[in-house]
Amino acid sequence: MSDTTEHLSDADLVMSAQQGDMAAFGDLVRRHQKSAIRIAAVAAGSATDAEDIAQEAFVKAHAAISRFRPDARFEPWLFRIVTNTAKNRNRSEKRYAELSTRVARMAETGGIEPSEVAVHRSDSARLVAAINRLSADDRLILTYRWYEELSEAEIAAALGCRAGTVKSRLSRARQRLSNELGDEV
Amino acid sequence: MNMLEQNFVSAIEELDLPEGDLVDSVLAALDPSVVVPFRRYRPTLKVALVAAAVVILALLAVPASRHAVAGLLGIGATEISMDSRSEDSRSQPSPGQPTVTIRESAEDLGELVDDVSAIDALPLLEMPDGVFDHPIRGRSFTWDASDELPALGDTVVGAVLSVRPVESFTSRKSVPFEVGVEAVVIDPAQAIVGYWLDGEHELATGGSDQPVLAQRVLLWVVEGFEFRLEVDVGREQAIALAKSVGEGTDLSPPG
Repeated sequence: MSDTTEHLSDADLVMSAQQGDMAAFGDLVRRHQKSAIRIAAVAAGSATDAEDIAQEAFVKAHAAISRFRPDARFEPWLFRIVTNTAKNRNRSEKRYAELSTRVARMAETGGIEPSEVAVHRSDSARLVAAINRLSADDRLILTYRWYEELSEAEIAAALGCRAGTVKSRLSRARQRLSNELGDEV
Repeated sequence: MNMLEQNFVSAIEELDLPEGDLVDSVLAALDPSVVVPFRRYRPTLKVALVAAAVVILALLAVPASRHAVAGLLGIGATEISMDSRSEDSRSQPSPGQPTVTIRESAEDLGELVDDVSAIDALPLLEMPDGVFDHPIRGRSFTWDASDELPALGDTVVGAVLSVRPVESFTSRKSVPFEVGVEAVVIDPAQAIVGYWLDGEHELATGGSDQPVLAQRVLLWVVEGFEFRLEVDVGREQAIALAKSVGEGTDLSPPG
């Protein structure tokens, strides 16, 4: 992101993008691409196409940017587009890949000491395996609440559900994750 | 934050994710003057969809082929078949269960949703006057009749937009030959195609044998949701309204 735009809020960049400023939209992409890729991976249950999904979502977001209210938060709206794109892909391609950690990949490629693998695998790998067994909606709502720290209203916007259902959905997702872990954590 | 939440956050943080920079490829995709192999774009799919719509359009233009093609028609959760009864026999009520009128249909959209404050307004239609949730029809938005939106039948409603997830065929439309079904392209950039039913026809929902009357309807599917717009306006205006229903607009049904 250029030094001159770092101080600009998402709302400022959105308004500029709505007036045709492609550099402003590029700044939005740069600012939110990491989150978009992460949400794409969580929604799809795989990192394989996360970049493709995020890229497609940004293109769709640009097409719809004129209908976005700049006073609303940009990320929940973007996340909604990302998850819809990911779900559409999953529906058409029937992909069943799984999320994995960087440690697991490095272990496979020999880029990490075996002793470190033993420590990391016993904790995060078990949790990631449990996360993989959740539904996409459960993974997403937990990620939105715990990792992205979205409010209930923002989660509702990101999931496309009624705000009043977020608390119960979150509670059920949390319980299902606990069940998958066997209450070990 | 408790231990479970902390560990979850750590696990998400440790996910093996690509770290590429998307800015150049996104901007290239948005630049109409750039003709490069967009490595992740699939223009052939969109071209195929538009071509298919043109073929369907051409087939439906030939009256004799409509009946054969109609057996194949379906979009979202709606099957469409051509009604071969004559106009006289259609106007006679069916024995046992008469057709529900448009007014009665508009009054049976489901449970009224009280809090509409979180619903984004559609640019061309603005804030809906009513929102209803129905177990089969999904979420329906209504707009009162106005100069731009003539009343549907003898109701006070000018437009009804219903949205529901596509799971299986749960509705059947029976369309008179003189009304016809026309394949239309709603948004070529998004490869969104739909069907335009340019007149009064019957609709049966769920397991009900009692059909309801509907007027002009535009049907299309986006991202696994079926959209149904009932308006008494021309095709192009209906398509413009459909195109205004876009990403970021909270129209998904409950649940």
